[in-house]
Amino acid sequence: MTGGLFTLGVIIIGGVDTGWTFYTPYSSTYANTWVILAATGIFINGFSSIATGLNFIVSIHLLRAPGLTWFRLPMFVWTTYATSLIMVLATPVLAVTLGLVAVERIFGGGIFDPAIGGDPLLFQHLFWFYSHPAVYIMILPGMGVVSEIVPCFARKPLFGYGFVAMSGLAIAALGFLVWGHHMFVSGQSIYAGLLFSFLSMLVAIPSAVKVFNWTATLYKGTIFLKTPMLYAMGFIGLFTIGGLTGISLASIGFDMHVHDTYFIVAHFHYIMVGGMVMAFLGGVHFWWPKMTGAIYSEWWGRVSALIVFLGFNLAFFPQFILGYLGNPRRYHAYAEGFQVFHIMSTLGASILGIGYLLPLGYLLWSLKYGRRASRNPWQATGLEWTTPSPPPTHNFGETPTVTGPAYDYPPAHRELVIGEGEPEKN
Amino acid sequence: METSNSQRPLYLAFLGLMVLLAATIGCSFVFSGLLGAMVAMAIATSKMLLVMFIFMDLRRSPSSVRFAACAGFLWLFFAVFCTLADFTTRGWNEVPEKTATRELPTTYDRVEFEN
Amino acid sequence: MSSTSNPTHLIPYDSPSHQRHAAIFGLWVFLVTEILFFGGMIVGYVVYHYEYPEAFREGSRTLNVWAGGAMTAVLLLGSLLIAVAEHLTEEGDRDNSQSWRGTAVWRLAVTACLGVVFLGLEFYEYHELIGEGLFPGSQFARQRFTDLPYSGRAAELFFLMFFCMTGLHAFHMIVGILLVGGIGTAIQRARQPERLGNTLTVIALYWHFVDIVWIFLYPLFYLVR
Ligand SMILES: [Cu+2]
Repeated sequence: MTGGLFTLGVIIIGGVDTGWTFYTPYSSTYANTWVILAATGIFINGFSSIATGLNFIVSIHLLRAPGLTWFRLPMFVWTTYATSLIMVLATPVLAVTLGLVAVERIFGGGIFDPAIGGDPLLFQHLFWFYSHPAVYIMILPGMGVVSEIVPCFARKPLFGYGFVAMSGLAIAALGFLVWGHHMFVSGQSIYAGLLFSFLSMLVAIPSAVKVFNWTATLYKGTIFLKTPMLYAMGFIGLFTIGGLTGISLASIGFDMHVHDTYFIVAHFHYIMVGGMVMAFLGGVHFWWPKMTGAIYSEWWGRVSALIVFLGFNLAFFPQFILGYLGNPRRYHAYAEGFQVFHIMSTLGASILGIGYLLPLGYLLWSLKYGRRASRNPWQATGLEWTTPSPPPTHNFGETPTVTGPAYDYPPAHRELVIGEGEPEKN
Repeated sequence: METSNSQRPLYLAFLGLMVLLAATIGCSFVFSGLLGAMVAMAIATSKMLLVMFIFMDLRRSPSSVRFAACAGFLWLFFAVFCTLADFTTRGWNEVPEKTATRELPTTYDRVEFEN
Repeated sequence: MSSTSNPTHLIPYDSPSHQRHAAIFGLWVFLVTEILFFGGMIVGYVVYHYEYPEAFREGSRTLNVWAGGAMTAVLLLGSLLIAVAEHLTEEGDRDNSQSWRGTAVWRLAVTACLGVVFLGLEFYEYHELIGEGLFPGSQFARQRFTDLPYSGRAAELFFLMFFCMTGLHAFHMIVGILLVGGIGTAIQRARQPERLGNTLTVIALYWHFVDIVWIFLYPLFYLVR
C-alpha cells in the first residue's frame, strides 16, 4: 500500500521519464524527475513481495495438512511455491540496485557512472537479474491455475504430476540464468550473449513439458467445455505461440533483427495477456462459485471467453508480422504500408476490451441474482471444495486429513452435470 | 555458572575464529594479487562455516534450514558467475591486429557523427 | 481450557518444536534475501575489482588493517556471547530454573555494547577518510591517485563500494544493536523469560549473519593491498 502510494504520487506530481527500466546513466545522472521517490515506492513494494514469498515458503514447508505430502499438493500450490522462491531470491537484488541508483543521484557521480569508470551495463545486469525472473513470477501462477482446471474438466488425473511439479521449479531456477537475453544489443560481450542465448532456450524444455502434459491430460478425457476450460485451452494455445516465438527470440541473430520491434511486443503479450490474463480469467471463473457462493451465467461466460480469444489474436498476431517487417515499438507514427495491420490490431484491441468488460457485468450480476453454489459445483478434487461456498473465516472446522493424491478424478460419463447451482430445496 | 559441556564448542569456535583472523591478516602481508584474494576468501569462508555450523547451529538444524542456506549462496554464485561471464569475455571478439587485413571499426554499435 | 490461558505455542502449530522450527526456517529464508541484498553489491564489487585491480589495491592501502582487525574481533566476541546466552536460555528452559536469567542478560548487554564499539570505530574511520577527502563525489581527492585510470577517479569507485557496503552493514548493525538491547531488556523484565527463547534465537541468527557479512567485507576492503 505505502509503496503503491509512493509510485502513484510520483505519477501525479510529475512522473518519471526513465522508462520502466530505469536504465543508467540516464536515470542516475540526467533525468530530472522523481526517480528517487519512484524507487522508494518500488523498494517498499519489494519488501511486501519478499514478506509474501517468505510466508508462502514457510507455510508450504511446515503447515501442510496431515497426509498432504509434497507430491499430493495441488499444482497451484507447487507453482505458488516456485513463484515465492523467485520473489525471495530476486527482489532483494532489485532493491539494492535501486538503492545504488539513489545513492548515485544523491551524492552525484557513482557506481554506474562511466565518467569514473563505472559501467552502466552493470545496472542492466542487476536489473535483469530481477526483471527476467519477474515475468516468471507472473506466468507461473497461471500455469498452476491451468493445471487445476484441465484435469477437472477433462475428468482425468493430471498426466505426469511429478514432471509438471518439477518443471515449475526448473522454470524458476533456470529463469535466473537467462537475463542476458535482454542485453544482446546493449554492448555485453558476445560470448556472454552466447551463454545466455543457450540457457534461454533451455527454459523451453520445462515449459514444453507442461504444455505436453496438459495436452496428454486432455487425451481421451471426457471434456466439458465450460467457461474455465475455454480459458485454459486458450491459455495452452496462446502460451505455445508465445513460447515458440520466445525460443526464436533467444537466438541472437534473430533477436538482432526484431529487437525493439512489435515482434517483441507481440511475444510478450502472447505470454502475459494470452497466457497470464487468460489463466487469471479462467481461475476467476473456476473459483468464483467457491469465493462468492454464486453461480454466474454459463452462456455469457462462454461468449466472453470466445470474444477474448478472438479479440486477443486479432490484436496481437498482426504485431508479429509488423515487427518482422521492421515496425519499431514505442513510436507513435509508422510507415504507410503498415496501416492495415495497425487497423487490425486496434480493432482486435477494442474487441478484447469488450471481452474484458463482459465478465465484470455478469459476474457482478451473479452476486445478487445468480443461483447459490453448492460446496463443490464442479465435482472437483481438492480441499477447498470440501468447505461451504463461500468459505467461513476459519476455512475448516477441523483440520482435514488428506488420504489420496491430487486430481484423483474417476472416469466420468458425458451425462455428468457440473457447474450447476444448488438444487432447489423445499 | 561454570561452563557446561554444551557450551564448549562455542568457545572452541571462537578460538578458531581468532586464529583465522590472525591468519588472514598475516597472509595479507605475504600474498597479494589473485593468490592473496583466493587465500583471503578461503579463510573468510572457513570463518563463515564456523559461525554458521557452531554459532548458528546449522549442524543440528532440520534439512529445510540447510537447504535455505545453500540456496542463498548458490543464487549469489549465479549472479556473480553470469555477470562475470560478460565482463571477463569482453574484447575477445576483437580481431588481432596482425591478422586484420583492413581497417576495422573498433566499436560496432556506435557511430560518431562529426559536426 | 488450560491450553488457551497458558499456550506453549501459537494456533497454526502442532507443538512448541514445530513453532520453533518455523521461526528458525523463516528467519533463514529472510537471511537468504539478505544474502542477495548484499549480493547485488558484491556483484558490483567483483566486477569493479576485476576491471580496476590497481585502484582497489591503492584504495585498500588507505584503510587501517589493524583497526579493521580489531573491529572483526569485537564483532566475533559479540557473536560468541550471544550464542552462549542462547544456550543458557535453552538450558534454563529445560531445567526450569531462573538462575540463568542474570548471566544471559549480562552477556546480551555486553554484546550490544560491543556493537556500539564497532560502530564507533567504523564511524571514526569514516571521519578520518572524509577528512582526507576520500568521500566520493566532486570533492574527491583524485590528485592522490593520478596514475590510476580516469585520472584517478577509478579509486573513487573503490571508496564508493566501501562506503555503500560498509554503510549498509552499519545500518544492519544499528538494527541488530536495537534488537539485542531490546531482547535483553525483555528477558530481564519478563515473568516467564523462557518464553522468549524463540525470539532470542531469531535475533541471534540475525546477529551472526551480520557478522558473517563483516567477515567477508574485512578482507574484501582492508586486505587487498
Ligand atoms: Cu527475459
